[in-house]
Amino acid sequence: MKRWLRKLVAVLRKRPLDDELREELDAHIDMLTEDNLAAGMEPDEARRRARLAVGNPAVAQELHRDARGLPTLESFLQDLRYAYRTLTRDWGFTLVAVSILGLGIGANTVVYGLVDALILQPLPFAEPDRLVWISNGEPGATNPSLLASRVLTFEGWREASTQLADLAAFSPFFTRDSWALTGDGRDPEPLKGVLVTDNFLGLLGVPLELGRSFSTQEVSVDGPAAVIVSHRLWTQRFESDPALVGRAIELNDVPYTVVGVLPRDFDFGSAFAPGYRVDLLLPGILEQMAGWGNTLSVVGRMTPEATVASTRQELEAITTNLKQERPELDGWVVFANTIPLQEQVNGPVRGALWLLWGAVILVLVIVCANLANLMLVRSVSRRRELAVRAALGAGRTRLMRQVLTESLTLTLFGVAVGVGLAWAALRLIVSRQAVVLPMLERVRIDGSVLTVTAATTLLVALVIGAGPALQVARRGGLAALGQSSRGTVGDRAEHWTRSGLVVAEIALACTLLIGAGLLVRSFGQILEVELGFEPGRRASFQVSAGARYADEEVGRFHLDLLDTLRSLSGVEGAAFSDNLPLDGNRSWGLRRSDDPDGEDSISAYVRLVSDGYFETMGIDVLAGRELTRDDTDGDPVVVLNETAARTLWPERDPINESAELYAGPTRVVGVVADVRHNGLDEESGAEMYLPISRFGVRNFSTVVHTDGDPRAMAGQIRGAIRELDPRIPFNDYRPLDHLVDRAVSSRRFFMSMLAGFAGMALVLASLGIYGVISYSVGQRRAEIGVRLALGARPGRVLGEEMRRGMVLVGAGLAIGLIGAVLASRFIGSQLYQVAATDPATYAGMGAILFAVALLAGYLPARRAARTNPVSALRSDT
Amino acid sequence: MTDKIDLLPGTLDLLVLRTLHTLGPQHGYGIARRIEQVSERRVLLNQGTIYASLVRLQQDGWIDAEWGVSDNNRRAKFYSITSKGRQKLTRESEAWWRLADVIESFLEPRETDR
Repeated sequence: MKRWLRKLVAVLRKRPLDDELREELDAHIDMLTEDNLAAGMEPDEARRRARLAVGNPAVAQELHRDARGLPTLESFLQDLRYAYRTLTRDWGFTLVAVSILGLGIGANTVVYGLVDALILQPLPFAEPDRLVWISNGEPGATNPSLLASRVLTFEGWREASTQLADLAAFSPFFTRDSWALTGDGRDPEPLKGVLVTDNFLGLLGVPLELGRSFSTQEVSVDGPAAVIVSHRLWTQRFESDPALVGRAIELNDVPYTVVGVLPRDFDFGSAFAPGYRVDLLLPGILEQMAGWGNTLSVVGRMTPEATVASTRQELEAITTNLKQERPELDGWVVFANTIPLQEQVNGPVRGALWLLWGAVILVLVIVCANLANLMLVRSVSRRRELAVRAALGAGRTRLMRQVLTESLTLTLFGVAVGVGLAWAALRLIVSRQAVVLPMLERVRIDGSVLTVTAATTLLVALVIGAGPALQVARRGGLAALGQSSRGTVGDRAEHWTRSGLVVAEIALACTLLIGAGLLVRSFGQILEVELGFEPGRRASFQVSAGARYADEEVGRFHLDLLDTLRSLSGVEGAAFSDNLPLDGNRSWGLRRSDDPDGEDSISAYVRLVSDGYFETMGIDVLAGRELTRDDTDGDPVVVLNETAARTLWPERDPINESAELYAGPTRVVGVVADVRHNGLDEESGAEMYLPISRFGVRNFSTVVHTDGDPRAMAGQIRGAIRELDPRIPFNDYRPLDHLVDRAVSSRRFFMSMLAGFAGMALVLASLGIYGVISYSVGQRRAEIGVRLALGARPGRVLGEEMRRGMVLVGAGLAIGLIGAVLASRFIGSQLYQVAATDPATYAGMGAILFAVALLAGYLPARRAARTNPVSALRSDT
Repeated sequence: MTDKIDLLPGTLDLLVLRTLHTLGPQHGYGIARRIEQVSERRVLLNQGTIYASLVRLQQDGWIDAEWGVSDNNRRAKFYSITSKGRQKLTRESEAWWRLADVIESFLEPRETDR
């Protein structure tokens, strides 16, 4: 080891060591000369013989260097320097090549960064592979109301399970609640808080930054009001005050004692509710929640010996027993569907991410093909130079090494650019929350990403340098000296390689274009979905009537708020709902009154709304009437949506029919159009609307319908609200469009990325075609000149040159189309109402590719047709 | 004069070590001169190449080097054998004798002629 270090030092100290040797050799010669003189020779002769005896100093130097240093390293460094010089001299080529490489490698780094953070890395909890998610539904069910479990079931599992060391839960319906943070002299801030069991943080293994988790009293009925705050809230609102724990903060007018602060790298929303920022954890009082129905999302930690399968089996058995033993569970949907927590968190995005990764790898292949072609072309023009080097003594291995070093240097430049671009892109994506994805916050360029990038670099460098290196290996360099420097046309193998590479590029570009085209069409279909409500010119903000309003006063508060808003000029309408579309929901059971056993009961999404809701939201009333203020008192009434009405009363109009809710009988007074509540790509399901004021709801969303841009009204509305009650937060005032945006955000993201990659592929493939034809034309300039001189029509020449290119394009298109069909099964799950083999898309993308390639081939072919025969024949270079 | 003998690789190292062991610290020229003398000019030695051997021996730790002044006031680099070098010398010498014995028992006895 030490010896190696000494050698390394010798490499670095090349010049001083060379000087020392020269001094030694000089001394050697001098001393030998003196001895010769002493032996009687003439001075000149003495010196001459001395020099002869010592030999060629250059040889001595070389041997010395080889002996003392690391010859391989030195020649590598030499090659690097040389490569750098050649590349910087040839600016045009280098710029193009580095740009292409940069884009390809950058794109790969971005996608790998996403895949790594979202899928490959384990969840940020203790021993995350032991954690499972237990939901109350068939796999694939999406109604959160049907996926949450009852307290009874939860406790049953907890008691009986041996496979699970412990279970914890939170309430997933927190999204419609708003906690107004007031009382510290700053603007009231609307926060999201989620109810959790006392062992939630402990089960996940999340260490608190400060304080502790909830105590048993705090999760008991009438226990002390406690709260745990997020790291973000602690740093931004409370300036990282270490004394926050133990202090009380005012939420919805009620003082809650802060008992803990979460660590920086725990983000509840990131793992369990992407798209929402959760700042508060509140105690989930199971006794209270027991009466609320299906309100728990359950997480469990398996014992070391348990498996997901064994856990699932056991829980299913326990659930069956529970259903038999506990009559309260009759009529309720009770399942125990157990999956690894990781699957729950990133399941929805896995398919899309794998697809994206596949696509970006294809882009990289195209990049490599393109560059390999460029390098091959370049190597031809440098044949003389290599030949000279070979003549000066460079062996085949050395030349190959040099070629590969050059491709490595080029790739390194490209990687530098690419990683820079990727870093910027990822920062942009994460900081602007451009897309709703789970675990997005932890996307970054870290060690594993860089390692993969490094491996990719080596691979790419090898691939693109392989062509020229193999050329050298075959020819050995010297042969080129003898040829005319016009270069040979007849090098079949090279010609076929180049053509093959271009065909591959076109095929891959075709596949990518089709994939992107399908996603774009799909997205278009989604956007055209009939939402059922009108998001334009409407905005919302959340309101919570804090404890300062006594129960009797809440109704009055509702009325005052509505009146205040409606009185503003520029506001066409205002209304409330406890749940906005595409923003969380819950459902209750509903049945006809003449169906006492509930055999035909349905589960309907519930909206507690104020009067004027349908008009404000632009929801069509199909039969009957809207809800009015009078409905607050008097008989209970309900408005159903079309689906609910048709399901329960398929034979007639349900107006004035009687239905039963858990709360008692109610009368149907209206039917409205279906609204997409869960997601744009899901059918609406049954919905029912009840008067909000009947239920004394304190937490709701307020919607205003404005004349013009709702953002322009923000100031006015804020002023009016403040006058009414300054403690109502207003910071979350947002146009309703954002609901739609959030619902389609991940779809839009993947579509844009894939479209971008397809665009890159198209450009690269056309460059490929352009290059190939251009090169072939250049090589055959003399021949074309002769033909033109002999009278061939330029049009004919043009046609012929183009035909060469179009044959390649045709082959590529054919392969690409077939490839796309074969790959279509992978993309099917991402599409909405578009077949994976949609002929229109295939034809369209094929046509685009063909047209672009046609143009790319036309330009150099035209040049060929325009060749001046005289100059072509004259220049013999 | 008969043809000079090409030295087998590695044997030059042995000669150098032996020379330094016998003569004590020497500069490059001194070592080359000694080798020529002892071998009665039977060894083909491109004198300049001795420095490659010397630097290798130095890196391996068998010899040390130091700049000094020669007899006639020349600045020259003097090489000296280390204790490790002496051990190596003993080992190598023994190995050579053993080898020579084995080879000799195979070859026909030669006439002593020059």
